[in-house]
Amino acid sequence: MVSCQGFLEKRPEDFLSPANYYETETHLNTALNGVYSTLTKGGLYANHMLGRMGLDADEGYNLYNSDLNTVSDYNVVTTDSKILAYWVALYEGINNANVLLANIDRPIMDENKREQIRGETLFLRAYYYLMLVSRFGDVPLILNPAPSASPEHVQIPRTPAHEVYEQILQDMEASSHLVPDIVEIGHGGRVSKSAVWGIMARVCLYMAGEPINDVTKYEQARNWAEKVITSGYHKLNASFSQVFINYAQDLYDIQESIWEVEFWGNGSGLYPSNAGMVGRNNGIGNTQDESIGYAVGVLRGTRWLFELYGSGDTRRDWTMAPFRYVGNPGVQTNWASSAIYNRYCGKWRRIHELVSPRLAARTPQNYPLLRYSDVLLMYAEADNYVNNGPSALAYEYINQVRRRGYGKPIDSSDPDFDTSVDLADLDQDGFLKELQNERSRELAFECLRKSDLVRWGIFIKRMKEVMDDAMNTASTTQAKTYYTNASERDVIWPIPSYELGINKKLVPTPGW
Amino acid sequence: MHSIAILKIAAKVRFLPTLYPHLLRIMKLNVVILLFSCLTVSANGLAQKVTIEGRYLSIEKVIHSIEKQTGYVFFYDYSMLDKAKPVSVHIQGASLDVALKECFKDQPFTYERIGKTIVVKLKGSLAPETKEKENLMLREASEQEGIEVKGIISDIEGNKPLYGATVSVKNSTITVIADKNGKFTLKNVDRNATLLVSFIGYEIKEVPVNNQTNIQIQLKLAEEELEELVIGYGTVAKKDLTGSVGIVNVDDIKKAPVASFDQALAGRIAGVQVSSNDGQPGEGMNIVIRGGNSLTQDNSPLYVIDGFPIEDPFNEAINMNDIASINVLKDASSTAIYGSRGANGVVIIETKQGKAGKATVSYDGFVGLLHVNNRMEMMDPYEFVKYQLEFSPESMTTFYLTNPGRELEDYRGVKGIDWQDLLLRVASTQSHSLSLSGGSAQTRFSVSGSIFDQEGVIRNSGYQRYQARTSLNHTFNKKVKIGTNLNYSRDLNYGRMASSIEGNNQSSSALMYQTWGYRPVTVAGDDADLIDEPFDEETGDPYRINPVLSVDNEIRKRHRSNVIAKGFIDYEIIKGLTLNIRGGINYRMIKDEAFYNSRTGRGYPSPNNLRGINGSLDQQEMLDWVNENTLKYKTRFGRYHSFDALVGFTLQERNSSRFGYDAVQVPNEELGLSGMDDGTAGAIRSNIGGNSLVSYLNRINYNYRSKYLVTATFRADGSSKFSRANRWGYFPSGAVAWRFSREDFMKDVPFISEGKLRASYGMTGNNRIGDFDRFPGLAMPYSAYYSNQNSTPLVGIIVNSFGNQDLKWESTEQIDFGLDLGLMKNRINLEVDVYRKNTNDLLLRANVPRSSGFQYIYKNIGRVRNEGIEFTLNTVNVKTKKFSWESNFNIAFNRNSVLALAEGEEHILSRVSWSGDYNNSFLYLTEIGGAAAVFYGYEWDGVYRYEDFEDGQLKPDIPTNGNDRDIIQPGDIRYKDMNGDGTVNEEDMVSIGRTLPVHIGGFNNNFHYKGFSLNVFFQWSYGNNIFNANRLLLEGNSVHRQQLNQFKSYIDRWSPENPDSDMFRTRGGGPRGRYSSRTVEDGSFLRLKTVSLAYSMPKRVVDVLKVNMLDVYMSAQNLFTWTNYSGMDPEVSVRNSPLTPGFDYSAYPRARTVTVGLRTNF
Repeated sequence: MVSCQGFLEKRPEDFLSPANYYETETHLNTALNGVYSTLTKGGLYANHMLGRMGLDADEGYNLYNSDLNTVSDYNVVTTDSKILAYWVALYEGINNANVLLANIDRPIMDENKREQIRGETLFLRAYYYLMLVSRFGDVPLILNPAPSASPEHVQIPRTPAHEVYEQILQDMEASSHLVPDIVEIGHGGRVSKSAVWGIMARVCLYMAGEPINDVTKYEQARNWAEKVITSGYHKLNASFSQVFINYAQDLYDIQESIWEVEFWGNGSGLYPSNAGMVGRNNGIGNTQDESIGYAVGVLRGTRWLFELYGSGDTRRDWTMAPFRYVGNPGVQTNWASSAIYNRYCGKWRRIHELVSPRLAARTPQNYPLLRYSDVLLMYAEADNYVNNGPSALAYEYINQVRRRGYGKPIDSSDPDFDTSVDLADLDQDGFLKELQNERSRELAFECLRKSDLVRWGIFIKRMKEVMDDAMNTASTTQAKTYYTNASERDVIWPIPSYELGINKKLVPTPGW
Repeated sequence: MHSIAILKIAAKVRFLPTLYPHLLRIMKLNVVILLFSCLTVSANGLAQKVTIEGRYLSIEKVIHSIEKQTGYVFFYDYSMLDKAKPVSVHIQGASLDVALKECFKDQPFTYERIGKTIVVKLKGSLAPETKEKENLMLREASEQEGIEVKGIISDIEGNKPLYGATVSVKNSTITVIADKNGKFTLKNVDRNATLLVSFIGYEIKEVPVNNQTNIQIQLKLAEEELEELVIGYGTVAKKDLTGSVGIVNVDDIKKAPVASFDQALAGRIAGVQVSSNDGQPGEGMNIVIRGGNSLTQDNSPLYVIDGFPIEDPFNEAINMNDIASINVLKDASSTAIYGSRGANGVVIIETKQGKAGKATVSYDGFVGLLHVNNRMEMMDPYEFVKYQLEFSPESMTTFYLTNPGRELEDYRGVKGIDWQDLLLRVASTQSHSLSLSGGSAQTRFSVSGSIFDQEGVIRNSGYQRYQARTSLNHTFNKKVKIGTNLNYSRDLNYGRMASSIEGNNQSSSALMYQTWGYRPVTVAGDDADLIDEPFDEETGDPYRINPVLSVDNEIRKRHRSNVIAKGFIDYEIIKGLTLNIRGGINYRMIKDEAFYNSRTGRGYPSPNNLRGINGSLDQQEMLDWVNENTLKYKTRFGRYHSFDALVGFTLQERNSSRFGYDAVQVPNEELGLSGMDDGTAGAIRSNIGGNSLVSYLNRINYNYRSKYLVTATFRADGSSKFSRANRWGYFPSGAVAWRFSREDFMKDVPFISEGKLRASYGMTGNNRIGDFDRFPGLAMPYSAYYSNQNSTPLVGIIVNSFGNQDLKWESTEQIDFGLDLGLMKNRINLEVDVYRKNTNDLLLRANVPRSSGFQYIYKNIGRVRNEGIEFTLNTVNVKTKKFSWESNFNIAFNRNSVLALAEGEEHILSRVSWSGDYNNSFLYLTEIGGAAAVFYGYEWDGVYRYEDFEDGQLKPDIPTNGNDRDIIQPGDIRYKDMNGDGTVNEEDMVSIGRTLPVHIGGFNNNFHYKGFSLNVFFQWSYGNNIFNANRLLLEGNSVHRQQLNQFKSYIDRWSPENPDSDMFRTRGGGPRGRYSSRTVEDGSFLRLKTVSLAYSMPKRVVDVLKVNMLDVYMSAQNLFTWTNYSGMDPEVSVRNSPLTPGFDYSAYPRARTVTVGLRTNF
């Protein structure tokens, strides 16, 4: 039988195994790419999150036949495939991060480089948990690869949301000491100290609001935002629209765009899944003229958002394009002034893309995960809470955002500096209200709104307000359906039916 | 060329019996042959036609004349000829029967044809002097000592000398062998001695000498002895069988006009469930023996083709006409010799070898037509438009009414497009098979070839096969025999896979869905546009692909080549001890080609089509080799103890590879596949795998007088699929059998002609997992790449499989009790088997929570039991000279139950992939105590009625259907709230129907009347349900797709005008992605599976054509099906696996086949 041992010893030749990988610095970097690639999954930023999962809440709604009666129009069921895809993509990313972290100390390599990889991985894992906990509530918290296939190692119960948040903060803080400054990286595609601090501010605000209500986190939020602001690396881009043209053209502006998802190419050839649908899903509808770039245009704004902008605010017509393309060649044709609900999201315009040809199915546009204006607004919001009213700095930061929106110089040292659009003399609530609105004016359609409404505890109120308006003024049935469908239970998504079936330690989310 | 045989016989007892068996007994009782002349009459080449003319001919002369002309031999007592009358006849070219009738009409004799013999006897009682004569002779003979006995040994018909038969004198050493004329001479034999006469294949006979010096001995064919069954690593006489083995009547299955034997196997053997997923041409069959052991792994049996074990053969590679026998080993004692791979049963196929003698050419061919006679009834244009108006009142009113300026009534009576008629066709099939075989006593050969061509009933689909085979056997000398066998086949299966779906479009990419759901009417009123355009331009919906055009333009081909080459050498080392060395290779190649131009669903330039016009090529190769070395020893102790033993050592290895690439955005579509190089490179695939198996085996048989039989086997297997610690599996078995019919006391029970009790127990295994499933895997798909600073994406690696080094053999223990009973001289044969199989350590591809980062992990968990009872009844219902009716009936009951799952788990849920949100719902539940896979979902409860509402709101005590309470309306689907909490959610899902049949079986009938033979075969399945998923989309449109036609049955939906309907209102289907009992249907069916009518041309025609036989026949397959199932066909399982059976979605329709054919050999 001894001679048989050799004959029976067959080893896989066509795939790698963890046992024989993670041996070099290159291996770790390759694994880190794998962890990053989660962001480009169709279930996340490449496709579904772009106007197809109701994340835009009162800012805009979904108008897309393929999405009828799904989470896209708040017809949420526990079997919804987009919700499951979201869950699956994130947990696969978390597992990839866990396996990398478990093997990270194996290669002999430069310790600084190792620690940077550790920092990026810890942060990404924490960010994926943030995406889960903010949209599902209590979720299984898994920080190590499963040691065996036995049920106790793979059937993990839900961890209370506040504990998940604590873990997120802890990992992100650890990460903040390990990753480099953004100027060292030189672009927004990788995790930098600025990105970690800025996202930590976001985490703290989520914890401070519903449903965790840990108000002590406001101060921490302000501190983390402050670290970004005082780093000296960041400044608002003078042109609001240029921020988004930069994403379309693969140009980096690390002063404004702190962290973004890297999409690449037009979807042809070997890397179809490295390109995304930014501008295709959430662009200005054009289904005929390929030279402009095909866009389904699933995302349309609401009259509420439209009317939020003051006159002279350049952000309005960039955010909700006043035109669509008609015919081939596509002619920019303005909407009737009454057709507010028809306006497409205009932040992501394919016409600016440089990659050619502009194919119908995918786009190269990057997508922002953290912009500097968000950090400024987070500071202002936290500060308003901590000080029981806005401080001078809070005003300064929100007004920087506003000035840029109105096309005014931001910097007081600028000779044309102009404070005519500045906010002033607001009490704490008044400031909060303006801040909430300002977040929409500035950050509309950037996948932030629903979470903001939820943490402020005004999600259903806002949805029903828009519903009332849509019932009276919207010309599309789908605008009405979207806001009518939204209900109390929609503040979070249900745990997917699939997961409930397999993991008996999970309990269904109340209400589903 | 022949001599006249005149037998003058004196019998001790009443002479010349009326029945053949009685005659035999008389022979045994010392028939004295007074006169004998050489009996080497051959019927070959002799005409059956008789011509006798003359007046006053002696009967003797007439007899001689008939013998001369026909080769028949008359058997009569000379003395009685005195009583004969002269014959005056005028017979020209009459049949033997007519001639005999004519010649004997006035004679005091009766006659009877027995084989090639015509026995003539006196009407009425015998003449008394016969007995006196005999006594006189006996007296004369007894006066001598040590007589010389001469004799001749022939078969019972007396026309075949048994060359090589052994004659020995009992209790002495004297033994002689009969010469080529069957003659022997024994000198100096005691006049009272007894001769023992034996010959292979014949019953041993004891013949007392009793002073005879010239003995004619006829040996009876040992019918049961002849039925040597090929089992694992050897053969066994059927009577000595200890295990449970199903024998396929190969002649019967050949009557089915199908491409391969497995397609004709359903219902033939008790306990062997054979089904196909749907009617797709060229797709394989699912064969499950005695219930599935594994839950997620393949349950198909091991195939052993001419001794070569193959787990997944191309059954289509074997020409049905080359098959000599198919035996199905069912119990553990039979299968344990195949150890690790025997747990699912073993199908043993032997192909034909050449026979010594004149070379024979055979031809069998048929041509025929296939068609589908049923259709799903769809809504007509009026009903369709009416439904659309309800579905989207605003947009559809504009679309169908306002814009064209019409009323709904205008659509009434409009003839819609029947898309089913456009897609389906009457297809043709043909098959031709030609063989040449023959050889000498030393060397035998066989060469054959076949062509099979079958169009599918869906346009542009079908199956073709070319196959050739040679076999050569040579006997060097008494000790050494060699043989080779080479089979080559090449087949092609082409056309759209009707039930398959592609990633993004999901359910809407399935062919039958597209066909059923396509609009029957346009607004423009020009049907031709809709028929000719690649997609529905009027609606502007790029997902609505014209299925007929698409099918016509698609290229999807699967080419397969298969070479099986085998050789063996047998060496008899010493008497009884034989070494057998066998080797073989099995090389298989699969080449998949696909090309989708701009008029196909996958190549149409739509915004969701990332690939544009695209093509792909994939090539897989598998090379298996096997080497088996066995030593057999066979011996007898004394007269009654027979013993044989087998030891063996085998090696088997497989190497496989798969390479493929895609080309996308192909610019010149007219070039087809050859234009792929102008396109952009797409995905590239490469895989290499392999596994190996080392085995030791042995078996011991002990047989006492064929009365008590014992078998024990043991096999050890080592497989490369398992880690070193878990590599070896050990599989013992044992069986005993008692042929109680050979006991003395059974002599008093004359109606039982054969009786045997069997019992067996054993362990078998299963290693059906991937080559490297135990290794955790990392992968570097392009989707794991990530761009850095807008660089070309950089390689990324992700974890893609968990692996599990602890994986080990799955083992099945089986106990079987069997009873074989032959009644009324084996005219009735009954076989009953009861069994219980317990499968432990199931190799389970277990779903795991997605939060683990994995979808499934391989584990050994749980225990499954299959227990059942099988009955097989073979009867000869009528047997007369002209007419016979034989039937075979079998029925099998199997109960499958899960005894244990992983630690602490009470159930497993499983799902099928076919449509968006449904993919995330579970449709199957496997619970401890229940069967593997029952349908699982919501209990359908009709619809909400008006009385369930108050002020437009659902009453608080009425449960929801999972939708938000506020949006539920009258006419919405309703489900039962099982836990009574007012909300129907995952906690209310229950078992909603069994998937496994209660019993399955078949009923086969063969009728013969003169030259006609009729085969009628029924097959059934009873008690299983089918989930008809077509109805989810096409009877209620639960996915809310606009412009989608519906089944006609949905006309009866709930509406304010039709408030009593149980069928939910338009858009009232409740939350998407929920499976309910609404579409669980009874899948029982009885099918008239095969009918074949053949006519054998009479001798006169055959002779004129100078052939040995010529049959013409008509065969039909799937002629009628009786079922309550509302879909196209109840034999359906388009996502077939042990945990996901009985799912129907867009199945390829099953065709009815009618053929005419011809068989001959010369």
